[in-house]
Amino acid sequence: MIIDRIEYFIEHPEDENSLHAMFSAEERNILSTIRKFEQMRSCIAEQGEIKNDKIEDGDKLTEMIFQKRERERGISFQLKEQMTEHIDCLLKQGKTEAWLDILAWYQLLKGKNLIIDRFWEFPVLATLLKAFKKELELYCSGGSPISVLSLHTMQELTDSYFAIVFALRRIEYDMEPMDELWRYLMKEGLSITVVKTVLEEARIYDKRKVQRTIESWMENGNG
Amino acid sequence: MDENKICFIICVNDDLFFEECVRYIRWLDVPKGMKAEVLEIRDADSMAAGYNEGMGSSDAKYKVYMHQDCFLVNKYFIYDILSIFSSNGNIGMIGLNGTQKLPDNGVIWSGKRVPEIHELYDGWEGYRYDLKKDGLWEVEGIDGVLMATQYDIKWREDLFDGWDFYDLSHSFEMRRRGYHVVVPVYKRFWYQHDDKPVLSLWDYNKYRKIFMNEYMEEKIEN
Repeated sequence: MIIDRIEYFIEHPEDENSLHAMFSAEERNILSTIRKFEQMRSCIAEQGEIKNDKIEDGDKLTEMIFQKRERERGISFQLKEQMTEHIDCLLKQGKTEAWLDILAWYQLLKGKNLIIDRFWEFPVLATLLKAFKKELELYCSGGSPISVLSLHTMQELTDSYFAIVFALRRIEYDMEPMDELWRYLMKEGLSITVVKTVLEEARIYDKRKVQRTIESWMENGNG
Repeated sequence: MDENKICFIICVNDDLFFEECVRYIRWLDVPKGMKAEVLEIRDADSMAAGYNEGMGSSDAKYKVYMHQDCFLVNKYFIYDILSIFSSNGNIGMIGLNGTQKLPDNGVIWSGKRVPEIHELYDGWEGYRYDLKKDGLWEVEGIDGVLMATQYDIKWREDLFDGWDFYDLSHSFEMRRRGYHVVVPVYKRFWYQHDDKPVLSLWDYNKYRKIFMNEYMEEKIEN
């Protein structure tokens, strides 16, 4: 499992050279960027630039927070680009194992608090990973297919997410019937489990209303 | 200037969001005798430059500058902003989110904003804004998610050549000219903002400093 390899690699930097064969070139590049990112953060902290508890002047604190953001800009974009390329490669495989790898990479970034709160693609990915986990559970218990495997790039993944959010919101404001969302799901091969997960996470004001609409639509023999 | 026209001006770089945004605009009720048009600005160099281009291309008296990821869910939006503008000729601009006192660091969300979060209540679908009953907040600055004007004032593209602080700048430019900037006290959302759930703000500090230099002195004097 990739997560075991990453954990070992992170915990044993002294073995970096001998562990070369454990990772692909793309994975090594990502890990190397993560290490640089962490070194930069520790350097900033050591310089005392962002010890919030010692700074009483609000303006100075604001300035320092923004300075930290500016210094992290280059490496944040570099890591985002590397991660997106790698996730695209994994998504293309359309396999459960590849999604588990993506989950491991996401958890790594989350655990280290790197870039996931800086680029909107990552919270969207997190929602789809949550849907994946639910679908995987259903697959293991009853054999229903894992529909998110049909998403083959980050672009497809984020487009699908927003297409579902928009359809749910139109239901909320009575602009469009549930049938339209269903047609979209059929076209894209996505499940109602994905829709329900997106509903939980998205900015939908009256979630209960939308939930009721979906349920009554399903009770009427649809889906 | 056509007093019976309202123009929605939107800088666009994402068709998925823009199409959704326009879907909501087309869904709005338009008062009899009024015309509503949408003006999309592509490849703008900055938000202020895009809005100046839009402003110069439309003869509508009422202009609504809004983000492509803002979806108007108040079906009577046009009625409501016209009622506010016609109630007081000194109201220059309406926003849907603002601050009555901009914090001294110029960071709008580090202070109190209006409106605060709404609680969902039964019957929210039946609520309709009423200027007399609900009223307005007078504010120092509004958020750029939506900015409706009844007077054309040039956007400061000379200072704000990016995507930040053009909104607070325009609020202060309105106030420099003696106009009021307001936010309606609405009891259910007028809009949904799918601004993708993170704030990157890579250039925010650069424009914050420009803003502080240009406007904060006069704020303190006032």
